[in-house]
Amino acid sequence: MVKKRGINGDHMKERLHPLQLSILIYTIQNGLVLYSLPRLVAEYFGTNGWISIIFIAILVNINITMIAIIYKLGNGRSIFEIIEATVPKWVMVPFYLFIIGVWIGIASMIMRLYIFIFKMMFFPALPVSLFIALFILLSFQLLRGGIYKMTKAIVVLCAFVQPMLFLLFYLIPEFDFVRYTTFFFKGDTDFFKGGLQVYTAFLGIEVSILFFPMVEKKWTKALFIGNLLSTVSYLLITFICFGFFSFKQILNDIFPVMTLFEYTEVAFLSRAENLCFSVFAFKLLAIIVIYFWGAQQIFGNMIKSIKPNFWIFIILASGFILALIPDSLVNVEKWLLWLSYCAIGIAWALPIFVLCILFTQIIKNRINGETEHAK
Amino acid sequence: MGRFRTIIKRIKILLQKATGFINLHNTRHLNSNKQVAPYEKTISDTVDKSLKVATYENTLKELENCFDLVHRSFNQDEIHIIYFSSLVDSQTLEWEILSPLREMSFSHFDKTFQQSLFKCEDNQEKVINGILEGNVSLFTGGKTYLINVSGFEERSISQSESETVINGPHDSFNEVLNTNVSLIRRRVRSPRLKMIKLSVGEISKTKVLIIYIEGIAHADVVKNLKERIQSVKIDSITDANVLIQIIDDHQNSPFPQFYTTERPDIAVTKLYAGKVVGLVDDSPNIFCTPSSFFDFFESPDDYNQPWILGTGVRILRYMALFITLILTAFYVSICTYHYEMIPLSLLQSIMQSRSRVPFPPIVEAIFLEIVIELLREAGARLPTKIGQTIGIVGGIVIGQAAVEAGITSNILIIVVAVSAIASFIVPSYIMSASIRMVRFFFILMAGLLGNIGIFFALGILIIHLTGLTNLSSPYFMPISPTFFKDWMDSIVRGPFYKIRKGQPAQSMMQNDGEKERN
Repeated sequence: MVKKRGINGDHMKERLHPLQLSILIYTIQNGLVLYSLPRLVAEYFGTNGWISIIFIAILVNINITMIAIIYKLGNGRSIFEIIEATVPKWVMVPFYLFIIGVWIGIASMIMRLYIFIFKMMFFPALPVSLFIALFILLSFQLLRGGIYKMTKAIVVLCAFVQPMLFLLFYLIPEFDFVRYTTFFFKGDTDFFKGGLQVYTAFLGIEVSILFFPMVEKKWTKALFIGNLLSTVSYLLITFICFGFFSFKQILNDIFPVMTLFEYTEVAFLSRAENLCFSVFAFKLLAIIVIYFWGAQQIFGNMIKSIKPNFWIFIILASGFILALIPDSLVNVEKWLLWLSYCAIGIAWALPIFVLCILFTQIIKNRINGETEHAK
Repeated sequence: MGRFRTIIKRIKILLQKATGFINLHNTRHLNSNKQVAPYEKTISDTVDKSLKVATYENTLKELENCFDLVHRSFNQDEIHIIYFSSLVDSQTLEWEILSPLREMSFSHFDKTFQQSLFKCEDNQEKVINGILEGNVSLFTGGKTYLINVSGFEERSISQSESETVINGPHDSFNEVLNTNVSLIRRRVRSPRLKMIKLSVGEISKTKVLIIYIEGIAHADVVKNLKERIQSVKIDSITDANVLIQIIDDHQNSPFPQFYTTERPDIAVTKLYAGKVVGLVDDSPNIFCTPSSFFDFFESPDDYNQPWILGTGVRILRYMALFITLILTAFYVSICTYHYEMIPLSLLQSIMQSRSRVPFPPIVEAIFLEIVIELLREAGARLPTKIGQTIGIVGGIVIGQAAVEAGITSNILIIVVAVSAIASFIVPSYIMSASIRMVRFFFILMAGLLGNIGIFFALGILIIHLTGLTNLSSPYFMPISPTFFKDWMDSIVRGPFYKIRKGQPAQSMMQNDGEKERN
C-alpha cells in the first residue's frame, strides 16, 4: 500500500514548487527528436533551418499561454471539474479514452524507438523484452509515489543528463562559421510538415494541463521557464551542428547529434556518445512516465472508486504489450509520427475546448448574476 | 493488486503475532495517555493482579530467584530493606542507609523520611520498578520508601573508534545515559534544552530520551518522534541502532535513515540546527532527526579547518560515492560490451592484462569484490593486531598471487582497490556499508546490460533515494526538493558568513515538504 502523505494524508494536497516544475517541464520536453532535430530542420526548412525553432517555440508559447489562462480563469479548478460542470461525463468518455490511448501509445513508442536505436548503434545483442521490462519497472517505481515524488526524482535524474550539454564546448574548436550561408530557408522545403515534426520535440508539455490541483499559485511562469530552457538547448545544439557539419552532411545523417558526440574524446574515454545516449534514458523515462501519469489521472477521474494502483497496473501492462508489437525501426517511426500528430491535436484542441467551456460558464454566470462560488 | 496486498499484509500480521514481535509503529494512537500505560506493566501483572499495595513479603516473592538480591532486617525485624547489590553504589548505601540503620540514628522516623532522598511509594509495581532501577526499598510500619543509591560500573569517556577526527574534541558517548546527558548539557548552557523521558521494551524497560532546544526545534518533529517511540511494542531493545530501525519510515530500504553518531559535538551541532536528538540507555550511539542523505557525508573535521579545505574534502567524498558505486561496474561494462570506448593507447594495456584471464569480466569482478568484503569483515571482527596481518595477507599476497595465477587482471585489482578505498572515505560506517552493498547491484546490471544497465541501476537508486523520508521529511533534501540556500552547509561547506542564519529548511519540514512552502 502506498503510504499516504501530505495534509491529512491527502496526496492531492501536495503542491509542486515552481522551480521543480520548471525542471520537470524542461525534462519532459526533450524527446528523442533531439537526436534528429538538426536533420529535420535542415530537411524541411532548408539552409539556416535552426532559426525555425524560434518560430515553433513561439507557437508552443501560445499553447502554454492558453493553459495559463485556463488556470487563471478556472481559479485553480482541475480541468475535469471545469468540463464536467457543463458537459456530462459520459459524453466525454470517448474523448478521454482517445487521449489515454494516444498518450499510452506515444509513451510506449518512444520507449521502443529508443530501444531500437540503442540496439542498432551500440548493443545488437540487447534483449528487448528485458529492456522494456526495466523501463516499466522504473516507471512503476515513479508512478506509485504520485506526482510529488515523481518530480523529486526527475529533478535529480535531470541533473545527470544536463552535463551532456557541456560536451558541446569540447566541440567548439571544430566549429566554423564558414559552414553557414547567408541564405535563409532555401532548398527543398515543406514548412507545414516540418513545423509539425519540429513541434513534436516540444511535446510533453500538454500534460501540464492536469497539474492544476497539485501546484502552487503563480506556477504558470514555470511553464514558460521550462519551455525557454528547452528552446535554448535545442537552439544551441542545432546551431553548433550547423557550424560543425556541412549542410549536406546534416541532410544525410539520420542522427546528427549522435555523430556530434562521437567526436568527443578524453584521455581515458573515447566515443562518449554511448554514455550520452545511455544517460538520455533518464530523460525518456521522464517523458514516458509523465504520459503514463496523465493517462492515470484521466482514468482516475473517469472511475473514482478504483484504487490508483489498479490503473497504474493497467497502464503499464498495456504500455508493455504495445511496446512489444513493432518489429522495425521504420514501423516505430511511422507509428510515433502519427501518434505525435494526434498528440499535437490534443495539445491544441483540449485547451481550446476547455477555454470555450470556461467562457460559456463565465457568460452564464454573468447573466445569472452569480459569483464563481455558486454551484 | 489491492486484494493481493491485503492478503500479504494479513500474513505478515499473523507471522508477527506468531513470533511475538509485534511492531505497531505504523498504527499510531491519538490518545497518548493510553499508550504510556502498557509500559508501566511489569512482571507483577503476570503473577497476580491483586497485588497493588506494596508489602515486604510480596516484593520478596516477586523478586525471588535473583542471585544479586539482598534482603536485610534491622531493629528486630521492624525495618526491612531490599535492593540489588549489582545496581547500587556500595559506598553511598553504607553512608546513607546501612550505618544509620545499624546505629538506629533515625531518631524520628517520620521527619527523616521527609527528606527528598526518601520517596514514599505505595504501589507494588512502582516499588519493583524502583528496585530494578537501583533504588533501595525500605519497609517500615506498613510504609514503603524508595531511596536512590544507584551506581554501577561504567566505561570511561574515551575516544570514538568509528568516528575519528584529527582536529576538534575527542570525547565520545559511553553506555550510561546520565553521562551522555551531561556531555550534551555542558555544551548547551541554556534552560531551553529540554528532554522527554520515554521507556521502550516491555521487559527491558530501556530509557529513551528525546532532547531538543525549545524554540529552535520544530514542535511537530518532537511530537511525531515521541508518538513513534511510544508506539513501539517490543520486548527489548539493545541499542539505538535497533530502535531507529523499528521507527524508520521505510524499513525495507538498505540506507540508514536516521543519522547516528557517537560524538557529542555532532549531537550538539544537530541540536543547534533545530534537529531533535534521541538517546538510548546502554547505547553509545545517539540518533538525530530529521536527517538527510547528505548528513552522512559530513564530518566535524570539515568545520574545524578553513572552508576551502572543508569544501574540497566534502567534494572528494561525493566523488568517492560515485567511484564506489560505478567504477567496478564501469570496468565490467566496458570490458564486456563497449571496447570502443577505450582510447587506443589504453586498450593495449587492458587487453594485455586481461589476455591471461579465462573468466568473463563480471565473474572476475564479483570474485574480487567478495574477497575484499571478506577481508574487510575479517578485519572488523579480529583484534587490531591480527587485523593488520589480515590486511597484509589479503592485500599483497592474494592480490599479487591472483594476478600471477591468471585469475584476475592487474587493472581490475587497481579498480577494485580504488573503489574499496573510496567506500571507506564516507564518514558514516553504516552508510558506507550500504553503498558497498548497493555496488553489487550495479556490477550485476553492468554485466547484464552494459552502460545502460549502470544507468538503469542509477535510476532505480535515485528514485528510491528521493522517495525516502525521515520522520516525514524528505531524505534527499536540499537537492530535491531544492533549497539552494541550504547547499552552502550541506553539499559544500561554505564560509561561515555564507552559511544561512538559523536552521536548515529540513528541520522545519514535516509533511514531506509542501507545508512550509505554501
